[in-house]
Amino acid sequence: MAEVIKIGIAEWKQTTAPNKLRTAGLGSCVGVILYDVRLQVAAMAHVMLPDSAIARKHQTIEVGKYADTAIDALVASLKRAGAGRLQAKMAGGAQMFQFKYENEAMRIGERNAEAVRNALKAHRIPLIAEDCGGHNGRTIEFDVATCALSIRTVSVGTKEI
Amino acid sequence: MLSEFEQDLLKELGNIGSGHAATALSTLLAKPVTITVSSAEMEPITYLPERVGGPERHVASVLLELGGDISGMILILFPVDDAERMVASLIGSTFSFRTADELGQSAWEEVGNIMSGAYARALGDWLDTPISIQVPATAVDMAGSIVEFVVTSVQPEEDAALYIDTTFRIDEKVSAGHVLFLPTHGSLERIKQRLIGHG
Repeated sequence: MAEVIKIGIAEWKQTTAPNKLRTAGLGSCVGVILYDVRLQVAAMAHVMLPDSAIARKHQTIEVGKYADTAIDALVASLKRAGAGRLQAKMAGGAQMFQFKYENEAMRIGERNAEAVRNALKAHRIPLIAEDCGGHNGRTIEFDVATCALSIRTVSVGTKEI
Repeated sequence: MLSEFEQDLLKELGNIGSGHAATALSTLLAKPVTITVSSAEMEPITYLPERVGGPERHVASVLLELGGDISGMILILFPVDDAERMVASLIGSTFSFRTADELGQSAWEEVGNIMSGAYARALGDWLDTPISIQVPATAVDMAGSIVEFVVTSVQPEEDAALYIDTTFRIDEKVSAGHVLFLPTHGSLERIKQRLIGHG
């Protein structure tokens, strides 16, 4: 039986085919999936913030919350499961509100997406497809068997990348 | 998270803000409006999407940025249908956010402006400190996507937000609205100190 594994804000989970990985209501956050096509194993994180350096001292770091620690965790976990050549897909990083006067903090979506791209580069993982930016929330579902990422928005409907 | 005492203070603050908002909304809509606060809590941010009806719940939202002594944001969420009904009664014809209806859109912005302003004023009066506000921004989308954007842009290092559950009764129709108040870290500490001073 295929299961749909749900990932909440700042969480990450791993599974194998025929299961699917799903995260709902991505706004400025980024959903990133690392997968091994041959082994049919994949892991998804719901990344909230670009960099774990922002965490206050002595605070326990939730690894799924930050782009850098999330990618490290996904790579380590997939390698432990025997994954070889990893590939990536990602979606999210939207700017949900448009303000007259914008400050740097409000560009958080863009910064999240950029941080994920950089972390992937650092691990030499090719980014196969992405759907980032814009002003829409997204719900995404990754089918581990086909490696297709379906993306649903309220205004546009569903598409696949 | 919050002590019972702090929860009561937050609820009182929510009540005062809701009172102001109900009066303003009632004048605007020319209909009886009551807003009651059912609970006020400090919630871990990861729970917030569930608290506002689930991450994919289609909502209409208003976001107001606060400046001055207390900085942060006020976010008000309504189920889309309820927001559309409010706008329809204001413009006197049916309204859907899916159509590019400028009159309806600006009416919705006015509703947002009045309501979020009422909460901001209540907060300022209660804390006895001037709070400056900008024109609010609006968005209609999945609740989760809106909440996480606001949480991460206001208080990226914070793990919890102040949360007020409200019930709106407009013209005898009931709607569950949610009001989130997200102070920046320094402001939350200042608010707590002043709240305790008030008690």
